[in-house]
Amino acid sequence: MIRTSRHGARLAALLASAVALPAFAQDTGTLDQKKAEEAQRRPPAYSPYVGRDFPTRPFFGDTHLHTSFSMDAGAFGARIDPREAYRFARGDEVTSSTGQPVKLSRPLDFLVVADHSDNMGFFPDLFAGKPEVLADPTGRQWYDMIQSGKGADAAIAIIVAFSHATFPKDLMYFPGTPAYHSAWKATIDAAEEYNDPGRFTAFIGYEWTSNTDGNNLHRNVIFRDNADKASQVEPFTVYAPYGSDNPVELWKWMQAYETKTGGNVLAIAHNGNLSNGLMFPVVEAFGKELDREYAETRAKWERLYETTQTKGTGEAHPFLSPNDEFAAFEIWDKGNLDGSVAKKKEMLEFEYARSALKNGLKLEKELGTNPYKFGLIGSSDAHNGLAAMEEDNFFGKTVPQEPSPRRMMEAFIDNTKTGVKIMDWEVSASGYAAVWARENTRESLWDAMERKETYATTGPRMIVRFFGGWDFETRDAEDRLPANIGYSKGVPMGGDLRRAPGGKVPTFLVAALKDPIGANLDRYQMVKGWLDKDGNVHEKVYDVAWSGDRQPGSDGKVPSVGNTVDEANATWTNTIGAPELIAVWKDPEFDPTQPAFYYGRVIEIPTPRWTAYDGQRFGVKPLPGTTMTVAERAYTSPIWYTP
Amino acid sequence: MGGYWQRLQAVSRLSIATGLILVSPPTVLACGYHDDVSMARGMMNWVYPDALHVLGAISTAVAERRLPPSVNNTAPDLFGSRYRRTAEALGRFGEALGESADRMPALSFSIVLLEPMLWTRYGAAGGKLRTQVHVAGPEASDLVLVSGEAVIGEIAARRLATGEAIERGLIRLYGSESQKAAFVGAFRSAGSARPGTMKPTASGHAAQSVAGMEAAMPLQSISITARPIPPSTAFEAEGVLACGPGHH
Repeated sequence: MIRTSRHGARLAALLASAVALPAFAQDTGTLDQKKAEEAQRRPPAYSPYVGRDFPTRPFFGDTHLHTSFSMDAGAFGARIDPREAYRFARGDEVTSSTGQPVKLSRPLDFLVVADHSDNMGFFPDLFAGKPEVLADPTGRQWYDMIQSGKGADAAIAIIVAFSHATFPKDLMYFPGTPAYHSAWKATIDAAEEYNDPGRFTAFIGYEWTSNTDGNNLHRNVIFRDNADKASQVEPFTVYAPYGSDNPVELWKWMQAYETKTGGNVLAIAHNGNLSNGLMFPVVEAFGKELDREYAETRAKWERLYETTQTKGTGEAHPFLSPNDEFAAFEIWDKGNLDGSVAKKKEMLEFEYARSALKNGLKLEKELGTNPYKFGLIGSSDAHNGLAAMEEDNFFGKTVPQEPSPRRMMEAFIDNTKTGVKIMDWEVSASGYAAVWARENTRESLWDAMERKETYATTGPRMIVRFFGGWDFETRDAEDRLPANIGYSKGVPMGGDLRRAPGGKVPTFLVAALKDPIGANLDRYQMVKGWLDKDGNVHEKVYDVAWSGDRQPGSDGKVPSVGNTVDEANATWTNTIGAPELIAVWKDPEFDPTQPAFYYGRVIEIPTPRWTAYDGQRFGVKPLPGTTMTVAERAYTSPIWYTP
Repeated sequence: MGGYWQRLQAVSRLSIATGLILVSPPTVLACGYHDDVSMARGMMNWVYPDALHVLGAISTAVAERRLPPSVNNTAPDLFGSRYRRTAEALGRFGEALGESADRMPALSFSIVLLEPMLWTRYGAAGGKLRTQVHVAGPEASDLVLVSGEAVIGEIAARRLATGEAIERGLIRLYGSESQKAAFVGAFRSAGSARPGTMKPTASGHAAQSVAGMEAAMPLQSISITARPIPPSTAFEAEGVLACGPGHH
C-alpha cells in the first residue's frame, strides 16, 4: 500500500527533475473517457508524452493581493500599485513601501490584484491631486495642506474624518462616479498590461468586503475575461445604496455580469475563522432560511474557498477535530475580524473548511444541493502589494509588518473592550494557490479553478497529485507517469465519484513532490468526512504515505518525523523526511450508502518560521510564546462520493 | 505641548470609547485593522513621499548590527518612562547638533520619530536651537526630518554621525534644496565621536550634492565610511527601548 522514497542518492536526480518538472507532474489533466479510449486505440509512440491532452503542471499564484488602491492598504502607507504588484509577482525586484529591495525566490505564474471595491483608489488619487478629488472642497483643502507643508495636519484631518465618520460623501469612491470609474479602469489597465499569455497571467479582479459588525464575509471576485468585458461593469460594493453586505446580492451581481457580457466570474470566500460563525451557515443567512436556491446559487458561484492566508489557516480546528494532531496550525480563533466580538466555541463549526464540507453533505440531503462543495486554495491577502509568502522572504501582511526588528513585538489587533488581541507574530507567511491547468492563460487557469482542480499551499511549492477511482492498484504507485493512470482510471482533485460499482470501494492514487528548494515531506494524509444513515457527520484522518520506516502506533497514527530546526540560527536540514511520496490508498471503512468526501493533506518536515528568520537576522529575542517553527502543508480540493 | 501626539491619543481614546474605529470601522475603511497612530504613520508615506523608507533603512542597519534594535514593548507605558527617555534623547540630539555646527544656520526644522509618531521642533533663534518636544507638527516653512528612535538615540549618544544617518537613509529630509544643504552643511558631523572631525566626503562638498537630488532622497553622493557600532550594554539588553533614547 505504501511506497516512500527517502533522501539519498536519488535526491539529486529528483531535485534536478523537479526543477524541470518531474514526470508525474508533467502528465496531468482532464482526460475524459472518450479521449482515453481514443488514446488507447492509437498506436503507441516512442515518446510517452505524445497525444497528451491535459494540464501539464501546477501553476502557482495568488488570488488575493491588495495594493495602494485598497483604502486600508493606502492608509497604512502602501505605495505599491497594481502595476508594481504584477511586476513583483512575475519575478522582478522591486522596492517595498518601507524602502526595502525585495524579490521572490521564483516568479509566480499568476496574480489577482483584488483591491477592496469600496473606495478603490482613493489614497493614490488624493495625494496625486486628481481632479475628481480636488473638485470636492474638503479634498481640495487636504491637498492644499499637503502641498503647503501642512501634510501632518492634513493627516490628522483625514484620520479624524475617518474616526468620526465625517468623511465627505462626495469624496467617497462609489460606483458610477468618475473617480471610481477611473480607479477601476486603472486596475483593469494594469492587468491588461502585465497579462502575458503563456508566461504570466494577470487576472482582473477585486474584493467584495462585507464586514458588518466586524464579521468577515469577504469574497474575491475573479474575471475569466479581458478588459473588453470587465470594463463593461464596475465592481460590486458593500455600502448602500450602491451595494450590499449580503452575499446573495453579490451573486446577483455576478449573474448580471455574465448575462450582460457573456463573460465569466467566480467568487472565493476567505477567513471564515473571522466571521464568528457566519461564513458557512446551516440554518439561515441574513434572516432568510437556507433553501435549495441558496445552496444552488452558492455552489454555482463559489467553487473555491481560500483556506489558508496571512490571517490564519481555516482548514480545521482542534476543538472540532480533537483527534487530528495536525489541526492546530496557524489558528486565529480569538474573535471576529476587528476583534469587536470574542469567539465562542459554538461558532467554530460554521467557520472552518472541514466542518463546512461535512455540513455540506448534510445540507445536500436536506436541500438537494450541497452549497459547500468547494475546492481549496491558499492566497496571501497581503496589503502591501507583495505576494511574498515564503518564511525566509516574508514581507508581512501590511506595510507596518514589513521586515523590521519590531514586527514580532507589536499587536496586530488589540481591542481593549473585548480583550481580543492578536500579535503581529501570529500573522502567517501563507499562502499560495496551486492550479492544475493546461496552459498559463486567464482562460485555462480560470477553468481549472472552476472545476476545482486546485490545491492550497501555505507557501512552499510542493507538487501534489490526488486521483480517486474504483480500480487503482498498488502497482499504480510504482509508475513514473502516474497522472496517465490517474486520469484514465479516475478523477482528479475537485472531481466526483458516483454510485459505487458493486462490491467496490474508492481507491486513491496520491503523490507529492517536495518544493525543489524547500523541505522534505513528512507524510501524505487522507482526510475523509461522511454522513451516516442517521444524518450525523463524521471525519477521520488517515496517514497514507510517509517518509522512512516509521510504523504506525496502536492508534494507527504514524509517529512524528522529528525536527532538525535550529531556531536560533533559523536553519534546518533535509536529513529527515522524503523528497517524494506516492501511494495507492483504499478506504478501509467505506459504506456505499453514505455520502463522503476525501481530500489530501501533505505535510512538510518542520522548518523555521518567519519569526525565527527575524530573530536571527535582526538579533532580537521573540516574545514568550512566539511560534518559531512551522510544518508547512498543502491541502487538495476534495473528491466527493455520492451514492 | 499637546498637539499632534495628544490629539492622536485623544482621537484614539475617543475611538475606543465610541467604538468608531476599533469596534466598528467607518465605512470608508474596509478591513477594520487600524489604529490612529498606525494610520498617521502610514500616511507619512504619502504626505512625505517614501518617508517610511526610513523604517527599511533602520531594519537594514539593525540586521547589519550597525544600529541597535529599538524593540517595542506592547505593555502600557503607565508611568511615561519611555516617553521621558525619548524626550531626553531628542534634547541631547539637539545639543549634539548645536555642538557640531561651527556656525548655527538660521534654520528651523522639525523631526518626526516614526515609531511613536512624535514630532519635535528645533527652532533656530539667536544662534541657538530651541528644542520643543511633543509639538503638533512642523511649521509650514520647516525643513522636515523623518527618522526613528534608535537613530536619534545613537546620534545623541555620539555613536552615529548625522551625515552618515542621512547617507544610509536613516534620516530623510523634506524641504527645499537650500534647506537641506544648510542642514547637512551645518550638522553632518553631529553625533560623531568627536564633533567636527568626521572624514571628508568623497565629493568634499556635501552641501552642493544636495541640489542634484530628488527632494526627499537621502544624500547618496556623500560617502562616509560606515563604522559598526560597538556592542554596548544597552545593545545587548532586551526589552523596552533597551537601546532607545535616553538609556545611555
